[in-house]
Order: sequence, then structure tokens, then C-alpha cells
Amino acid sequence: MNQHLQHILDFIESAKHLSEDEKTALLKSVKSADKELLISEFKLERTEKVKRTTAILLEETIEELEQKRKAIEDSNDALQKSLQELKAAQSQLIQSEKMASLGELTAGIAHEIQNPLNFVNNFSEVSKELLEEMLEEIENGDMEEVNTIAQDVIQNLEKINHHGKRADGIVKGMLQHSRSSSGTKEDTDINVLVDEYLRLAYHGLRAKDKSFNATLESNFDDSIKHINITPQDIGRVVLNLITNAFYAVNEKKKMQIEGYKPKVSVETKKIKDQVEIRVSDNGNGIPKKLLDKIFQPFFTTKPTGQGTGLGLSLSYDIIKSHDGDIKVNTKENEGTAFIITLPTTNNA
Amino acid sequence: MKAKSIQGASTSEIKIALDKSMEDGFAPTVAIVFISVKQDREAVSKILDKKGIQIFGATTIAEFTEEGVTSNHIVILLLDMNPAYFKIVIKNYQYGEALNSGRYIGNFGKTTFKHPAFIISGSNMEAPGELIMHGILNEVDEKTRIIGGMTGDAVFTNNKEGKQAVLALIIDETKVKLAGEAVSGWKAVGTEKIITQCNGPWIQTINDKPAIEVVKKFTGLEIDEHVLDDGYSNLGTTFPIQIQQEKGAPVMRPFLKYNPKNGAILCGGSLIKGSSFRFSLPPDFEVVDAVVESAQEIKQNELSDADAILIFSCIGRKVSLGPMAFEEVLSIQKIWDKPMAGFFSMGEFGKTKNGNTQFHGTTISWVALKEK
Repeated sequence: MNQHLQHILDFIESAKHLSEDEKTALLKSVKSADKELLISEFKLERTEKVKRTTAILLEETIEELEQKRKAIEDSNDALQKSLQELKAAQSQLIQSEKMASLGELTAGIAHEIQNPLNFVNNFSEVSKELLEEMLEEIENGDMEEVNTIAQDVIQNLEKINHHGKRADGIVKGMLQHSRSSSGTKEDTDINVLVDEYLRLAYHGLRAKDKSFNATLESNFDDSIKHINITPQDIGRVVLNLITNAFYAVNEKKKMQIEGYKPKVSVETKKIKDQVEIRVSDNGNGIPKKLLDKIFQPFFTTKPTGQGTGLGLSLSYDIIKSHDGDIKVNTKENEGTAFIITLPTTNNA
Repeated sequence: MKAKSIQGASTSEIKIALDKSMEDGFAPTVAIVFISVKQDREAVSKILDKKGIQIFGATTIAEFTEEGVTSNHIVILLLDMNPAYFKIVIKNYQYGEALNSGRYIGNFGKTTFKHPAFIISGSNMEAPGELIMHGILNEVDEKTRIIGGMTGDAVFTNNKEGKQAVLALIIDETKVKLAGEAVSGWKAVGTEKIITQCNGPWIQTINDKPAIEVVKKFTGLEIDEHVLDDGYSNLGTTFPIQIQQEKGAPVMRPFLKYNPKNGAILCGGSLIKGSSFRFSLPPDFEVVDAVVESAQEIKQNELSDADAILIFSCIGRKVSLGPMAFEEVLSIQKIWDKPMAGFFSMGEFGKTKNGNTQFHGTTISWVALKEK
């Protein structure tokens, strides 16, 4: 017991002027005071100990955290560098994918260019002959005939010019496709865009594989006005989906299933303030276990060297950047439909 | 079930107290005996044995009843529990056999009762309490109740004792309801650290540095060389570590000793390499209120009435909470206001709130019993 309290306690016990009840009450109070004092002393002592430990712990922990912060900063720098390298690699991959799809298009483009070139060649040969004939008529002095031939030559040259422009347009389109997208959106006739890529894809495949044949169905909704998109990006998506559809039906065809007729359909439809582009095929469908992987980068079921595995992944990114959506409906052995929806109100 | 607690400073005092407790016809069937090593436990056992009372006994540094804390005394909680509802088993374990001893106890429990609950104590404070617990849990459902505390010297029952043994009072939970929990209150501080090398209860390295160096650095611990041969030192009581668990509250591991040759530290309980832990500071003085509130919740939700209470409070709490450690014990007793016994233990078994049964250090683990 505290010596002062002990002194008081002794005094109370020996006090003769206090009654027993008073003594008991006072002694109880003194004992309680002693207990509380004991607790207070203990608390004070422990608080001092804890305070000291806390200070050390805090100091050491701050130092440790500072070291960790520096280490994290270094890691962060290294990560930033890796990220930049990754971004560069990604850009290269995207470009490779573009070039790969350009490869798909080359044959189709060649086919499309061949027609105007034939016209240019034929009409230029005819024009040459007409001009030779005109020289003869000048010598003969038949100016009426000269005039008629000149009119024909003018018409021929107009046709040559027309087909030259057509070829120019195709080449420009090809260059636009291979160039990095500026992301600039412009009013585009989606039906024309889809139709163009459908034809290019089909002729491209036919040029590579003469045996390939498929029924093409297109159903375009004429009520769709121009929509605001980046045409070369959406063109790439459509081309990718159509190329995949052709690949799917061709694979099924190779299985020589009796009565099987490959068919690829492309459809556009206006639904409220959205445009839907649906690319369907009657191929083998996508197995369920692969369905959640098809939009992952580098995922492909095509043999090595035949697919980058980036087509659907990039398509997904492009559609999302247009605030649109891309979904897939598939049934094993029956076929697949990819459905793109794009907002018509997107003026961004 | 009727319960009475008695205490005495000698065998003769206990004999008198026992006789007095039975004057009203009270016929205890089981005696939970917590006794100082300085007392004659053999003589006390004989007295109880003569009256046909089964003994669950453990030696103690300090023991308590609802009357107060004592040292060098004997306290006994007497229960007239139906003998069909409980069994007492003691099993010695040699080095490396703690797990099998636990399995033996667990198997005994499950073959005796459909829903056994285990009140256990083990002797030798370096004993791997965790292995004993895992041994039991290997045999029974993981939700089975295991409560108890490790003691320093010996555990005993009628005519048998063990200095390296586990003692179990196995209760049929379909007949006797039990409720309780283990609460620590130590607060985790500082960053997480990793146990990079360990062997059983020994930590060799922390974050690839000798364990003692890390502990000294972060706690400012001044090691008093003369305590090295002591089985228990202040290391453990002030800075236990909190091992993080996948679910539930962290498991507390107090530091007990260290090896000056390699800087390894002995903990109260086994460890797993790669575990992360944080240092901890002693509970605020308000921890007592939190423990009581938690017990009150259990009274309200699980066990509105009890016949008796057993409390195992870590010796670390006595050092850390000082005179309030007994206030804490007494506050739990007062909730049901029924006879109680307990002791300051060297590691506790019990279930933390929202966690499974674990072997802890620094906790107060308690159980209230009610015969149905």
C-alpha cells in the first residue's frame, strides 16, 4: 500500500473518536483509493513504455516505408519504360494486322482495278485507231467525218477518265485502309461501305482460291442515312467479320457434308437510334469453351501464319470507341452471327 | 448443474472448504483444480479421489476464482455434472508426438460422444499447443469447440499426471451447452513482415534477416542476457506478433526466448514459413470493456444462463494490464454471476469472433457451461 495511505489507514484504525461504522467506511474508501492509485501508477508506467516503443516503431516504419517508396519509384520507372515498349510493340502489331487484312484485300482490289484498266486499255486503243482514221480523213479533206471521229474520241476520253478515276478511288481506299486511322469521323453511307467490303472480300478470296464459292446475301436498309463514323476503321471491322465468315463456311465445306451450301449474309437495319450490321454464316459455329476468348488479343483458331489473332480484338476496340457494341450469336454446327450496333446520334 | 468454487492456501484448508461445500448435500462429480506447484497436488488429488470426484487438474503460476487472484494457492471449481455427460482423458506426449496425442484425444471424444466439446490443458510451455489442437481437429469437425490454456509444469487427473501431457475434459455438447470465445485486444502496428525461415515454433529469419535483429530494431527491445535461461521473458508479453490469417482474426504469437548464437526467436506456437505478421502493442486499457461487451453479446445471443465459468487468461495480460487483468476476469464472471475458476496461462485455445478454433497467445479465452 502507498505509504501515505498506509499512514492514514493506521491513523483511522487507531482513532478512538470514530465509531466502528465510521472506521469501516473510511477504511473502505482508503483501500479503494489505494487500488485506484495502484491502477493509475501502472497505467502511467505502461503508457511510458508503450510511448517509447511506439516512437521507435514509428521511426523505423517510416524509414522502411521510405525505402519501399524509393523501390516502388524505381519499379514504376522500369514499368513505364516497359509500357512504352509495349505500346510501341502494340502499334507495330496493329499495323501488321492492317497489312494482313490488306493482304486479304489485294486480290479483291486487283479484281476491282482490272475492270477500269480494261476499259482504259480498250478505249485508249480504240481512240488511237480513231485518231489515225481522223488523220486520214484530214488528208482527204472530209471535215464532217473528222468532226464525227473527234466527237467519238472525246467520248472515249471521258470514259477513260471515268474509269481512271474509279481505279484512283480504289487505290486511295486501299491506302486509306493501310494508313493509321486519324480517328476523324465523317458522315458515311454505311450500306455502300459494307457492300464495297463484301465484294472486296469475296473477290479477294476467290482470287486466292478459285474453288471457293458461296452464296452471298445482302439486305440493306435504305432508311439508314449517313452515320458519323471513321470509315476506314468500321470498314476494317466489316472486312474482318466477312473474311472470318468466309473462312468459317470454307472450313465447313472442306468437311464435304452432303447438301451443304456455304452462305454468308450481310444485313443492315435501323433500330430506333441505332444501326445494326449483322454478318452471318452457316459454318460450324464457335465452340462454347472458346466463346469467351474470341475477343482476346492473339486468340485464333486458324493455323499458324494464317491469322494474327488480333482481328476480333481490334474490331471490339474499334466498335467500343464508336460507343457501339459487338455481340456474337453462335450455334455449334449451325453457324455464327456477329451483330454490330452503332449509334446514329454519335456526333463526337 | 450446480457449481461451487473453493480455494485454500494449503491441503488442509482445501479439505475443510470441500467438506463445507458438501454439507448441504452437494455431491460434485468433477473438480477442476488449478494449483500452485508449491502445493501438494498429490494430497489434494487423494482427498478428491476419496470422495469419488474426477479431477481435471493443472499447475499454475497464479490462479483465480470469483473471490480474487491468488498465487501459491489452490482453487477448485466443483461441478455435479452427470458423469454420463463427460470424460476426462490424459495422454502423455514425447517430443514430436503432440499431434498424435491430440488425435488420440479427438478420437476418444468422437467415439464417446456424437458432439464432443473439449476443455483442454497441456503441460510444458514449449509444447506445440497448435499441434495438439490440430490433432484434435483432425479427428472431429472443424467447428468443434476446443477451449483451454497451456500450463507450465504439469497436468493431472486421479492417480495420474504428466509433465509433457495433454489433459482433456470432454463434454457431451448435446447435454451441456457451452459458449465462449478468445479475445486478444493487442493492436497490430507497423508494416507486414514475412517469416522467411522457421522451424516449428522458432523463427530464424524475418525478411531474410536474423529474427532478433528485426525485433530489436522495430521494438527498441533491450535484451537482458540473464533472462536467457528463463523459460519465459518479457519479450513475449510486450510485443507479440499477429500472424495474418486468410479468414478471421490474426493469431497471436508471443516471443518467449531467443538464441544468441543465430538470432532465432522462440514463439509460443508453431509457425509457417512465408507467413506474414505485424508487431503489436498492448491493448488500450479499454480492452476490458470490449471483452465484457463481447461476453454480454454472447450471453444475449447464445447462453442466457450459465452454471459455471472457466477462464484462461494469458500471463501476458497480467503483465500488460496489471491490476486490470483480474478486473477483466471478474467482469466476465459477473455477467452470469456464477462460480468461476481460471488461471494465467501460457497459451490459450479458443475461437475468436468470426474465426475458427485456434491456439493463441495473449488472449483471454473463456467458456460458460450450462447443463441442459
